Amino acid sequence: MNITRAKYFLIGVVYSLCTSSIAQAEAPGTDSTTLFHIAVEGGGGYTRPISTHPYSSHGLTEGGASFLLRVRWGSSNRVGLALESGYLPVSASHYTTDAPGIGSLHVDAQLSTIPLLLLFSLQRYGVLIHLGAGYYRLRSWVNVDNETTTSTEWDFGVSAGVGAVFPISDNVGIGAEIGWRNISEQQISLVSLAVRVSWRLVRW
Amino acid sequence: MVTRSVVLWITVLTLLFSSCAKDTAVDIPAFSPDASLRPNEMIPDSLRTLLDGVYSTTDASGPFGASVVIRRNGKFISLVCRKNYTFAVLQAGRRDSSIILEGYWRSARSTDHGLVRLSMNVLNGAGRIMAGQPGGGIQFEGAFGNNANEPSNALILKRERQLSVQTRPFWVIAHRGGGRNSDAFSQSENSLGMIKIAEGFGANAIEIDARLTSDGVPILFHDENFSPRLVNSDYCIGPVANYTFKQIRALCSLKNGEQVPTLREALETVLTETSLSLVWIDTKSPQAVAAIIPLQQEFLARARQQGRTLEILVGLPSGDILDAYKNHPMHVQSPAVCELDMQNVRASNASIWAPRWTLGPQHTSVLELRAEGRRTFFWTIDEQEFVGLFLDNDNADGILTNYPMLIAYEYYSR
Repeated sequence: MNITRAKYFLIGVVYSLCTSSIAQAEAPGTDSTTLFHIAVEGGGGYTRPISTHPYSSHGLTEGGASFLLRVRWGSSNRVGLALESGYLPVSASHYTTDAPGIGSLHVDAQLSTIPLLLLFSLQRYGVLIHLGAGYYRLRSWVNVDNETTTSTEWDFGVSAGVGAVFPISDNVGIGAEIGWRNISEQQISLVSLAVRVSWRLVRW
Repeated sequence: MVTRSVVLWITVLTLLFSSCAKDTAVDIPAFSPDASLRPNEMIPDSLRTLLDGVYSTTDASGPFGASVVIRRNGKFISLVCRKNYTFAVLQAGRRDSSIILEGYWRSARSTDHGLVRLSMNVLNGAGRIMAGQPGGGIQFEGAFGNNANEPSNALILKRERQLSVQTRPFWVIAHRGGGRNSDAFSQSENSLGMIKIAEGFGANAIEIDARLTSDGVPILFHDENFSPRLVNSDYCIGPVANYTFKQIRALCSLKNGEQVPTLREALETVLTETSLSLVWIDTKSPQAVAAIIPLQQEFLARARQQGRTLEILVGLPSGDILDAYKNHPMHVQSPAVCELDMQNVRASNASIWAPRWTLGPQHTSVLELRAEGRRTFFWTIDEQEFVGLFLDNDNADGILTNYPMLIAYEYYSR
């Protein structure tokens, strides 16, 4: 996929209009005395690439266990902003190949990413949707015939997700979500399934 | 309000998914082996050259426009046009008493393409051509098709005149070995396959990009970083210079599946599989200079041994690369093309000055350098409306372009 930044910007503008209009349409929150809160969310699950540009499928393992961490500012449990990070494996390979002009080579390789995104979210009736944009720090580790290289780069990308939230106390909730991500420059798309715990640190 | 929200969300999703795009190379069709020309039917170079000329077409609204240039170029017969920068890569052969041209056509400015087969019978001049007699009116009749379909759209080409007489050599220099990935050619930019086909696009020279791997191997690669624009790979990200040559060979391919070539492989291909007369090596880092010059000298010596006219030039696009070049002990015998100002051209004793085309034709400077025995190549001209500015007054000695078919048409049809 090749999504231009201009289109991302346009999506962001439209999304902002969208969330503000929905917020205006909704009734006040259940906790009428709390206007704002800051919460920490942690979660884990499984991430798998759905779009890459592979060279070889030999010995390829796609995706794996992933982790997420968010700090969220929320308004009356509806519109929120969050900073998201975590760890997402993309792929790993282990194989022996015949490289043209070189011969047999033993290959070990891993690609993973750490997101650093700003999420805009909307929560209502226990359902949370979010759109995010920011940067992904991609990290590639390769070992070919005992020569190891680690290479990293920051790429612009987006995410979108939907999940359910179940409060288990005044300040703690658990939930599950499914998300989609696109790392624009490297044209990598990922889907994630995760369970998460939310802990409201502060409210006022 | 709810309706507004729904509309906005639909807009968001539409924008998101309509933004998806994929660069896809055009799959070039071919005639079935049973129907195509056989090796023993090909006609020799001396006769193929007699087909050169500016031809009119019978259908100006078709993909080839009103006029085409046909020219033998290396092992190909290259047909080039102004309209949509359409070209055809053809082979010439003899079947019975007719001369056959067949191959594929493609519009470089779109993905339109197909097969083309043309025939010249005795009445239309085949007898004279086969007898080695130049000149005279000749005519091809045949058809072109779309995509992989058999040619069915009538096409007649009538030679109106010979190609323009060349007072000096002129170089049509194909960028990135022949063309860019963004133009959806079936060969990747800076690949060996692209170098082999460049003459079919109308070029007689190529520009290639050389940078070093972490273990010092000069490879052909344009960008500083790996990206899906240039390679298929799960693991090659970040600077090319981070990776060893073995790692690159084991972990990635160019967009159309080719291996990332070394500079040595590229020069070997030029020398043994093309008739190209000039290679401009665009040096991508100061460190690469020391690796490029010995290869340049080796292949220049081999070309001389074979009696081949071939220039291999080290590109000097920036001050730091110029300094590395001037500090190299072999630079005096190393021909170079300098993209900097005239003062640096003289300081480096570069045989060619290569200014950016947007600076204009600079005719006075061109003549001044020509008086010193230096040539001027302009880069990178892709728009038809500007080509004439640089060809008028015999100004340019060569033009670097992403569309050699356009420059070849404009130059040879003048």
